Amino acid sequence: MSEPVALKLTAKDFKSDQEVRWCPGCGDYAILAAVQGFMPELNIPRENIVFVSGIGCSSRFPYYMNTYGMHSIHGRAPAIATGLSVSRPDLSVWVVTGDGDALSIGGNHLIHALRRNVNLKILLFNNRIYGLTKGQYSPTSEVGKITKSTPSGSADAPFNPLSLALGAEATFVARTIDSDRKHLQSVLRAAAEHQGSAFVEIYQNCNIFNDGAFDSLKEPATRDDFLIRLEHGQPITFGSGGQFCVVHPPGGFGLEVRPTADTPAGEIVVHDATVADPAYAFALSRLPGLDLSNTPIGVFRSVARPSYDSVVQEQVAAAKAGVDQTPEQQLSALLGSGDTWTIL
Amino acid sequence: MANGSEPWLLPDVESLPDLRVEFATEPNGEDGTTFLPYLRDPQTLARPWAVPGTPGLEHRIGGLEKADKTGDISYDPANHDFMVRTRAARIETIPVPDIEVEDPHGDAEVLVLGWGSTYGPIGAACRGLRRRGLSVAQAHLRHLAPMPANLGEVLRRYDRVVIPEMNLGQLAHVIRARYLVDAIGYNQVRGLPFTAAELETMLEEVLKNV
Ligand SMILES: Cc1ncc(C[n+]2csc(CCOP(=O)(O)OP(=O)(O)O)c2C)c(N)n1
Ligand code: SF4
Ligand SMILES: [Mg+2]
Repeated sequence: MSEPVALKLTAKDFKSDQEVRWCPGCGDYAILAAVQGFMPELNIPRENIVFVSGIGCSSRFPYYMNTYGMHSIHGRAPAIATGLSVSRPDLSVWVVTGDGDALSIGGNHLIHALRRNVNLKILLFNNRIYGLTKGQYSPTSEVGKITKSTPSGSADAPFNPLSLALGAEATFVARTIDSDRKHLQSVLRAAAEHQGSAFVEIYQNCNIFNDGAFDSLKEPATRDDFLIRLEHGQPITFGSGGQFCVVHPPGGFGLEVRPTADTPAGEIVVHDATVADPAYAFALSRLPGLDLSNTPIGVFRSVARPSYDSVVQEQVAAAKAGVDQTPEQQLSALLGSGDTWTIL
Repeated sequence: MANGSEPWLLPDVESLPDLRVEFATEPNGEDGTTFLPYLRDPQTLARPWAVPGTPGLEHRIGGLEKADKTGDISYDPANHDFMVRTRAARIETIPVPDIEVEDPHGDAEVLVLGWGSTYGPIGAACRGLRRRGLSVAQAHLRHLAPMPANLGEVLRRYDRVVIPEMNLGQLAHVIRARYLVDAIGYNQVRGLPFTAAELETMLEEVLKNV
């Protein structure tokens, strides 16, 4: 095969001419800039890239990308994107969704897209609130959160989006943060390379209705002690001085954080995103505390499984091969099959 | 459901209309370089469809109101009013055949208007009345949006219009609102089809009072 021609696109080529209408200071701006900055790396012509979203502030994203785009139906972006991806293997299909869009009304579409391993890159902007509708609690809002729709505090146990995606057996699961452009782009790169569904949770600040939700992961004073930066093949240690590590306690099911100083080096878990059993990545997803301490970011899981698209395309190709009738003849034969009779 | 059956005329595949869509492949703006995804066909008011993969025609569609022609996001009140009217007008341009009236005696003063699955019992009731020398006309709607162009004129030809429905009058309300016809509703919501006999009895009462 010949080398692909470098298209020499820049971030500017991916900016549409539409006025961006998020609130000043919204984390969505940073994500947009990071995605636009990353897109040239794909080396895919703009016309072969499609962004499909649902409804929400986050779901306005496609309007601002100078690619094909669809601001679609609340919660249904995965369904629409599935049709597009399966019928058009030549396209790079991205889904942009919010915690409300993906996990409330769209919860089923999301888990089934992941289960099927449709070749979609799904970016879930998690601000732990409904932004567009002005600040109601969402399926990722914490217990006890006071919002306009939970005046006495939320009584719901929230979803952990990564645990959910792993439970649905997603083949690629990652988390990143709006304000860390370098990390965000590294996760996008890994997602883009993945064949099948890539699920990326992006912690996003809604400075109007849930300001500071992820501050402990962003403030220089706390972030190093709170964040676990996952690196494939590296022992999982973290903290400003590497003072914490992750171990698999004997007899336990999950993973635990321990002081590095008290832990023999051989007991520290070496991160392996390719572990076939989702239980490992699931255990990682359970590490964070309610205060967001011990929050892993990076690629939790990246395993190979045939995509739904590839299986369907093979079936279609097999069905077409060896057929010598025209489509019209085939349709006639199908209609005339089974119990038919003529009324004179 | 698995046990229900109904004869269905197999279509001749060759005679089916060709529904293939011609997708946009070139810019359609006057400058020869811009693509206007909301420029409309003057006859059908349909927009051009450019599918992903078509170079130079990248654009975004979705639920936010768009400016006429350019498809830019638009918050302009006058544009929104124009676009709402345009979308309604596009539906109205869909060709729909005229509604046909069955009135074998030719002198009916009462029209029974139906839609959907009430066709069978309404027809049987009308035939029953006619066998007894009474005149009644029947018309059945296949299209509701747009309505057949001749519907208003047909409704006004009759002294009374009766609309049997297995709901609380969904069609009757539309007919009364849109055509200012004092239609009589006959409504049952028992989860069972009308019987021809009950409709015949009901219609006979209406005929007596014309
Ligand atoms: C069918 C339907 N139900 C409800 C709504 C109202 N609604 C609009 S956006 C939204 C949730 C948005 O939350 P999220 O996906 O987190 O997006 P954000 O605005 O926070 O980015 C809801 C409930 C709607 N537009 N349509
Ligand atoms: S409401 Fe929140 S999420 Fe929506 S644009 Fe404003 S800051 Fe962003
Ligand atoms: Mg949200």
